[in-house]
Amino acid sequence: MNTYAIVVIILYFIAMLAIGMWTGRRVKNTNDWMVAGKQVGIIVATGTFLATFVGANTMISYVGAYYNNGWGGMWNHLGACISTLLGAVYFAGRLNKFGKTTLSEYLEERFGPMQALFSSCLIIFATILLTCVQILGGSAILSTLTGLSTSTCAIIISVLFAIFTVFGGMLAVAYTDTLSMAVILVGTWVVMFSLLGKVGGVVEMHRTLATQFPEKLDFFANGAMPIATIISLAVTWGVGNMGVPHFITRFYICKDEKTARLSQGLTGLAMLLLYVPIMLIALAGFLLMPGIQGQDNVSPTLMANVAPPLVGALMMGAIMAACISTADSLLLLASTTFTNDIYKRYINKNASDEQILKVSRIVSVCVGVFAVFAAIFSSNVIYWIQAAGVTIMGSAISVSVIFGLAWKRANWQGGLASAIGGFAAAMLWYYLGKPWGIQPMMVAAIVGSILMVCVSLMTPPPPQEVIDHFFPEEKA
Amino acid sequence: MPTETIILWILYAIMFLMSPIGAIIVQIKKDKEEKQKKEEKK
Repeated sequence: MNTYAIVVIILYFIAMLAIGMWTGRRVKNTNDWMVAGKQVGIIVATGTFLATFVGANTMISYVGAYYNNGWGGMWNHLGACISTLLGAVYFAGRLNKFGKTTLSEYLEERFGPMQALFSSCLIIFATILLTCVQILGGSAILSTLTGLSTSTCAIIISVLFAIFTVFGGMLAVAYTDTLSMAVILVGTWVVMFSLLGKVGGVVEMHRTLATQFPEKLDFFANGAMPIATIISLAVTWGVGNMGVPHFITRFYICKDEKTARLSQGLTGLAMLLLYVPIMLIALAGFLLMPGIQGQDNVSPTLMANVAPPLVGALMMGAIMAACISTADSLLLLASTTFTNDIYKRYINKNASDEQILKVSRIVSVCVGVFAVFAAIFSSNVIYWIQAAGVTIMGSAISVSVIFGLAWKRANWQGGLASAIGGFAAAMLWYYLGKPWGIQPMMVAAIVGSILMVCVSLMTPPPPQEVIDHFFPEEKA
Repeated sequence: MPTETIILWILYAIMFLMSPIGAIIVQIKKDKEEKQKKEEKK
């Protein structure tokens, strides 16, 4: 499998670089570099959203979750389905309308500079860590395939995505993400057909499961997925995803509200096309090779022992694509947040567009270099912190994003209280060891919402011009 | 295929198809509103 996988990955790398160079020539200003000129259509918007959403751990952990819990593993996606629904019916269109370049910019307009600065610092910190994690994931795969050291592989991968991100910015990221999504979908579907062929097809596989392993067809995974856990997953990610800046900025790059809205709809459909094969791979894998220990070992073990070499190689390509497409988005987010919300606002207020573009590219290189060294020298610390990475951002930001667009009475005092309170509650919950299995993000959502409502009602309403700007329909 | 499994497939599909259906409904509503506004202007 190694030779096939190396060929697949080299071809993928060449295609990524070619797209990066091609789009890099189209970058004329910071608007092109940071938000792809706000001209992205529905297919690319869907491709980049989903490719950013699907990281290496998605491709590995979800196969393990379905392998262990059978159909009950489906509840892991409920939160994502709820957040895409919320995006499709309300938030994507509004964020496209009111968003400019970064999420902090929206937060500043809606809640003032203090919350924007607090959010920017959290975003930069969390995204650098999450970039390290994707580098580590990709380098582990490349190292296994090539025999090169993990450090060398980390440098190869980082140089690759840093080149096209620095040159092409969001334009390159959006198009390469769409290619990555195509690789991910093709990879998973080919593996699915291959494994289903070995267990006699979908119907036969389910008949066997029904007679021999009925617990794999249990709606609640035979008690492993109780209602409380399902509600926790739904609230945690249904709300939490609304505060993840690298998802939110995908709404900004769409050419209009309609594209943003419909791309969220298409994302739901594309998720179905991705998670169905992942589930079927896991269930077929369970019949072919039961007893694999450890959720994250299931996918690599199946690819190495059950899948034909070329098919396994495609899956490896898909996992690599998932790593790189998430890493490039995170790198871009860290540099745009620093340049737009820290440099332009506090360091050089009179910077020209050309200067900002130059600084953005330099910051990308610096963040990339820092991330690769951090990934090589502090991998254990990063793995520990990455589990909290999305929660760090989501706990402080999601409630403000949702209330800021949906409740006109929300003011800066409520926003700041909810951001700090939500973040503190999530960290405290982590420190306490997640009592009763409740996710920290859920605690942050509850605490943040209570603080937002109570503090906003106890303090004066936001200025009329802010209400008129964000709720123009009520003005009319 | 067992009936329970068919129900599972339907529920699974509904979970993911909520957003495409939601997006289409909202878009139809918005298009109607826009058309109505244009007609009122005329």
